[in-house]
Amino acid sequence: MTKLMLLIILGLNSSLIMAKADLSQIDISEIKPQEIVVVTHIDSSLETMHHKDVVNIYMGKFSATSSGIQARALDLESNDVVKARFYKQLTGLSLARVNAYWSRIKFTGRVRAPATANNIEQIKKRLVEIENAIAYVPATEVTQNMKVVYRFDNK
Amino acid sequence: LTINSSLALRLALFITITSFGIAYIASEAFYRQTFAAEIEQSENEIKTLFETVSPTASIAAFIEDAELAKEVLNGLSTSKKIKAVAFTSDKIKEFQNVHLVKNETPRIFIIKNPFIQGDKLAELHVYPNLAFIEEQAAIISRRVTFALYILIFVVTVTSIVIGYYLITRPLKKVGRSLHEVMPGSEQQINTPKYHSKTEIGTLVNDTNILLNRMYHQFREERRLRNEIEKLEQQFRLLFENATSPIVLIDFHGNVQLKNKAFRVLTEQVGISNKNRLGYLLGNLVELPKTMDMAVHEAIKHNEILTSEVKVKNFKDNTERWVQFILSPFASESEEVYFHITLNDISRRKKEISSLAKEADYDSLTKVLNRNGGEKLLREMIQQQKPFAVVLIDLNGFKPINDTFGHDAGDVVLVKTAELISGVIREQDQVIRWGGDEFIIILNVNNRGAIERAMKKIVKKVVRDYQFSNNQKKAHIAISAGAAVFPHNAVDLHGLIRLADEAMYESKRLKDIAPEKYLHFAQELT
Repeated sequence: MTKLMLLIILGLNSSLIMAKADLSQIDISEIKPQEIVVVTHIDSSLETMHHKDVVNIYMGKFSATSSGIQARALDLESNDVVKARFYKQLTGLSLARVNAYWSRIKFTGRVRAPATANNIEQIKKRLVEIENAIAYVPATEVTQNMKVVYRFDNK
Repeated sequence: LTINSSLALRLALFITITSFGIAYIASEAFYRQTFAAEIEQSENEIKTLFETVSPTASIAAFIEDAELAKEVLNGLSTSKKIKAVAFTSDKIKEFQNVHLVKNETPRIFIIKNPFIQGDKLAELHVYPNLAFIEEQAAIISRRVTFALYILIFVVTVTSIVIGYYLITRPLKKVGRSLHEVMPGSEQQINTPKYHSKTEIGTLVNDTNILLNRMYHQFREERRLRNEIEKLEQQFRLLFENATSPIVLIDFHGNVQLKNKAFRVLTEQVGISNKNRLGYLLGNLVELPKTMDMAVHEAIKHNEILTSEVKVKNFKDNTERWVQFILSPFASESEEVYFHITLNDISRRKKEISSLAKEADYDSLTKVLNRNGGEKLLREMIQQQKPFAVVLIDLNGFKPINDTFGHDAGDVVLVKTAELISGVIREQDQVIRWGGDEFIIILNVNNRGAIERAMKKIVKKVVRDYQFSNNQKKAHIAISAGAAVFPHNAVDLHGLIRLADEAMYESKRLKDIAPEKYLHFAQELT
């Protein structure tokens, strides 16, 4: 029953996203190699994401996009250059500040930090394993199995 | 010690009033400024407080955590300057003490998304505790004002004390020592300590110079005064002890100054009251009528006027003559004065008059000689009173001289003069006209009177003379001729000539008609 309903909802959502995707189709050819992009599994129902959705999901506010599609954020372990660049581009904050934020709100219990992976390979593996998982990767790491749902330069 | 008498008190009062006036105005301004500054400071404090809680508030709004929001509000509420706070977002509505405020406008702070710029998440309403802030401001302002008053008070007291020790006290000291200085003495004022280069020092210095100058001036004046006094004394001695009476007379003719000799003179003649001396001593001396003009001339030409005048004597008949020397002069103030000196010339006058008498009288017969007679006749003519002149010539005189000698002739002449003098009236005169000629002046004007007088004379004069050394007798008779003034002639020579002519007529008839011894001038009827 629940599965059915979910499917219906998903179906509705995907149809909606399909409709939107025409407007904000991400052109992969424009992506520069050093650019960091947010990706999901090629089979995910997620198509594109807004900046606010990425922030809300990565900063633990919501676990779904504004369109109602669940998403699980995947994070790299600390002190990774890509990670630092990603957060800087996403929130304008340094990694230290982001860490401080997390340590600050951890006690509230209401938010959960993204799941972490040791490296890009693990990320790639998890994207497959976890449904609707999203991750940030350098543009060079984007594979056939991934689709870009958000890029910073896509303005 | 009133406000008007004390410099120190005045200075103190003025400084106090001025400084407290300034203090009042300044404190008012300070109070206002401090108050405003304190209010602003409180606003800033609230702003700062917000800045402090802003990240937490942002996070609370972002993760929509009411607890965290409450924590923010709690943090803000710890400040006494904040009365109430409210945290409002779509999901969170947290309030603290908001029920305490009514109709107050809160300070609204925007809480932004910590991760997305320009994304407003919530509003934080802060209600400042205005009463507390104002009270705090007032307290601080009052403290500032109080400090200002204290400062002004200290400055005022210091100014007064410094003013007193620096200016008033040394001035007082100088004033007191100046007060004690005797003008004209050699005393000086001391310069107050540490004031040799200040204005007070200069003042003292200048005052000392002035005092010194005054001392020298006083000394010089005293010396001059002594000299003048000495001179005056000498002049007074000279004036008072002068043997001649001297007076100083003003322009109106009144005596201003007189010496001892003058006082003696006035006493001697019986005038003692100065007011009775008259114009130019006119009551004292017999000033000739011509004197007035002479005085005017003398003044005009600034000349000395000398005249011999007779002193009027009110006491006895002693005649006093003085040389009246009047010298006009102008004083320094252009006033005209007369200096009159009266030199006693009575004795000289007496001598001269006795000499004149000798010249006028015949030494032999002791009656007037021709010179004295002519003088008398001229005076009588001048007086214009009628009189008769009888010229007498002795008959038989020449033979006596020739026979009995000159001594016998002299005896006849002396006897004749004596006889005539004895017979005529007191107002009549006999003159020895020359040789054996006599003139008799009779104060009568008619023939009868002359004839009567001549009859008496002839009765005595016509007589015989017996001389001791001779037995022979000598007879003396007279021939006379008369002329009357002014009937026959109005001048001396005319009168004498007519009398002479008449006498010659008698002489012509002396032997043939001796009874016709008297003839009259022809015109006389």
